[in-house]
Amino acid sequence: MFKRYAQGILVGSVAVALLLTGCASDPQAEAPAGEQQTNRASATELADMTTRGLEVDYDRLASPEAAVAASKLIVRGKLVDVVEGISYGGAAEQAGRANPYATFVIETNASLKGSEAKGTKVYAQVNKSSLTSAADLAKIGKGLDVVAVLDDISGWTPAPGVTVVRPAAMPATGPLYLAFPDGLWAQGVTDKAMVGMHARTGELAGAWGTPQTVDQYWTTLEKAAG
Amino acid sequence: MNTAIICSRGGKAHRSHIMTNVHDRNGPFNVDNVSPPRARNSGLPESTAQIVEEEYMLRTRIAFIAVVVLVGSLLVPGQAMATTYPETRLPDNGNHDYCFTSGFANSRDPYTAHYAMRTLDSTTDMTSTYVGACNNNNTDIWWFALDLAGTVRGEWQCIITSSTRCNSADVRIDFDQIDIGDNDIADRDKTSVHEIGHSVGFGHHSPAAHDCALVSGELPSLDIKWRRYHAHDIAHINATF
Repeated sequence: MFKRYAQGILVGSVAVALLLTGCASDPQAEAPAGEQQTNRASATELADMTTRGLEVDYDRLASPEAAVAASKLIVRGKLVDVVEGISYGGAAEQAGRANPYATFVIETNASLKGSEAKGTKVYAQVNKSSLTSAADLAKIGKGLDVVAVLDDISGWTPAPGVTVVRPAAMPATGPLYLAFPDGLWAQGVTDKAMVGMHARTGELAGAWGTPQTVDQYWTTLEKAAG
Repeated sequence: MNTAIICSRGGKAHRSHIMTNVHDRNGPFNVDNVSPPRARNSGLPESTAQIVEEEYMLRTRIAFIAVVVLVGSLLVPGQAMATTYPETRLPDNGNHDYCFTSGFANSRDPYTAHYAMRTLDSTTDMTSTYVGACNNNNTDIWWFALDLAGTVRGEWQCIITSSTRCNSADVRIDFDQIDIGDNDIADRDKTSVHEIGHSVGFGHHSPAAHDCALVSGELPSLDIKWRRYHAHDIAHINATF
């Protein structure tokens, strides 16, 4: 009896330890974690779909002040559509075998940098998986509350001989905005917290504090912008 | 080992008998169970008192081991906050063949790709094979060098899938972005190892969870661990391939 009891304690503690260390095997290890959960809606699902088969390593925006300084436009608004992104022309084969962008169309409610009037549509390029279409992203992303820290990449040349071609669904002229990988956050009514398309809240530099919602993230940027 | 030693000590019949009584009476962690002098001074026969004391020591050791195992699991770096696996699409098999596009072959540091592939080969059960210039869409990794937009240092993108696996992927490196800051060569190597890490199933790992090459952004230091996969990650790879 006692031996059984003693073994129970040890087995139990080892089992708990294994769970804590994550060594327990994943019964669905064949499928990536993000793809196992198909019932999630809104920003969480949008981020999963956007990054399916795509990972981006980036230099972080070190602080809200750095984000304000580095960006050309910061907007808050509603995601009203997702359409095709920029593509490559010329020696396109030197830039990759797939178009890695989608265009997020944001209807502006407020801007911190730049002077986009309320109701203006902003077209932001976002790194996108080649395994999902812009139309797929639009289906699950429309209506999300979004904050976007944007750079202007109008003069960007990816590689010698490679040109950037704007999609027909966005204006042919004007700034070409790109969302910083850790500067695009969305949240829907079913999301408990804001979700980054390419970043997690835990990856924000310490100077950001710990914003958990797009409201908090926006407020942090407002303070930094003065 | 300790478990076997402890469980083999003492007379099995006596121990079971005493333990049954103690357990039934007070429960396994009643304060009465942690005071052997009480047994000695309780008026019980000497032999019974010795058995009670032995049981006390046995329980103490077991409790100690349990605490050590649990605390240890929390303190071992990189394993307390282990991530699921795979976090990205797994490659189609255990050999990673790779090629260079002309832009990458003529870039400032094509060697960094060899470094990353050799790291995968030498630290895990996977293997790597260099096939030269890129001209076959079934080659697992196509290496590109270009100016990635914004603050992106490198990216991995699965291009061709096979069921749930990735048959062929692009790895794109932005040397200009990586070379901002110090330790450029080591930083390139970290980024290359990082991108190949994505190609074998890893997502981004915060330093608090895994202090390894899968950390985002600039190389934290010249410590080799930032250009390697964590032991926990390697175990996942080796269990898969």
